[in-house]
Amino acid sequence: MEKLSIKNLACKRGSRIIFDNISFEVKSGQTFLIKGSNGSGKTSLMRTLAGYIEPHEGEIFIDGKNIDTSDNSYFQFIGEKNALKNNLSVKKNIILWSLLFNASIDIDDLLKKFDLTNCINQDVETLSDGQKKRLSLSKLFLHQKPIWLLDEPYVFLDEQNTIDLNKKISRFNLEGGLVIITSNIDIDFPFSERVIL
Amino acid sequence: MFLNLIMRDIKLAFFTSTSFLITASFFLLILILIPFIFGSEIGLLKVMFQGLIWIALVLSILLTLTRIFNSDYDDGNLDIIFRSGTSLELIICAKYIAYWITICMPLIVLVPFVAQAFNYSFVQAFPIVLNLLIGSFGMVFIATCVSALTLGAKRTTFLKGIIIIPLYVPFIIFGVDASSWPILIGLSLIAFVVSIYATIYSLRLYGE
Repeated sequence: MEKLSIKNLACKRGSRIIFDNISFEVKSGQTFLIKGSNGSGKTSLMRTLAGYIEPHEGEIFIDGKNIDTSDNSYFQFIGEKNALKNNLSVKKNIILWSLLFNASIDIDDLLKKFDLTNCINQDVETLSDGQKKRLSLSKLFLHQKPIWLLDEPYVFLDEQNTIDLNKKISRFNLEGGLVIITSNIDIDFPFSERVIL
Repeated sequence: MFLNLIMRDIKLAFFTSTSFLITASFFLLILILIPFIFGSEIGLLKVMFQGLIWIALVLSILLTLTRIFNSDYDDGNLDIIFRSGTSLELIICAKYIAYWITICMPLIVLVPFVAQAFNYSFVQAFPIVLNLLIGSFGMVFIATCVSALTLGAKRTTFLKGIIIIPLYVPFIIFGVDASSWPILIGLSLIAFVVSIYATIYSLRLYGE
């Protein structure tokens, strides 16, 4: 995969326009930042790209080919909801995810990547918000897809974990992966381009 | 992937360790309480037994309804399920099967044994189990549909009860009659057709 192009994308809910006329282009190996205040439509844009919301107008192209948003082979979306069962342990949550992603994974290795090894048998409800966020982000490594869509990934992360996440994103970029991030805070990262909603 | 979805829901029920037990517990609790209310006359209890199992099933379904779609919606797992590459129809069928296995099957397995205490032999208990087996599928189809229709809505326990109980009345009426299993098959098939369309429609609105 070489390039993702968004052309004149628009989203409506009833008669309310969430966003319209959004166009941008991201090449593989790049990270693209979408900034905007609360309610500006960042999450709706990400959910549209991920295929959860039908776009009202516009098209999405990958390498010049118009793709159907229901095609789930390109995008890995990590949203605001962590997809965690609070009354289950970290390990059990990952076992359930691995069934949904049809992935066979080394749980210890995955948790090591996100510095959660000590929490493996801990119930999710006893984790801090930062730990829950890191656990949620670990889903990125359960199923390899060429585009990561990260909706507010830095929320609840401390300085060190923000740096660690940026390193993972940089490594993914080096491997040819493409990342789109939404955030309403300033992040110290060499984003290829920024768009403000 | 279809099997993975079923396995995932069964494992989730096993991990939380209540789904398998809740129906059996309800069933046994109701059976224990009833002789205190109506006395221990075996003829009367024998007649009531057939009705009690259906009440136990309805209560079990009502109390566990949120497990079908609502809890996955609330924590965000439904996002992953929808993007698992499986069609909505198969996702719904996986939910039917997993929910039936975790909620209805324990009750159906238990019935022939508990029936012994109510002076039923295994042979006599067979029509009851058969009706329960057929009717429970129809009830699960309706439950799945109602769970999807109320997706994202808050404080819907009462609403779900109001919607579901009238729809269960035909199943209970024909369920207690041993010779009505063909009618139960018909009801369950109608429930399946209506449920799959209504559930798909509700889930399509989900992303919005």
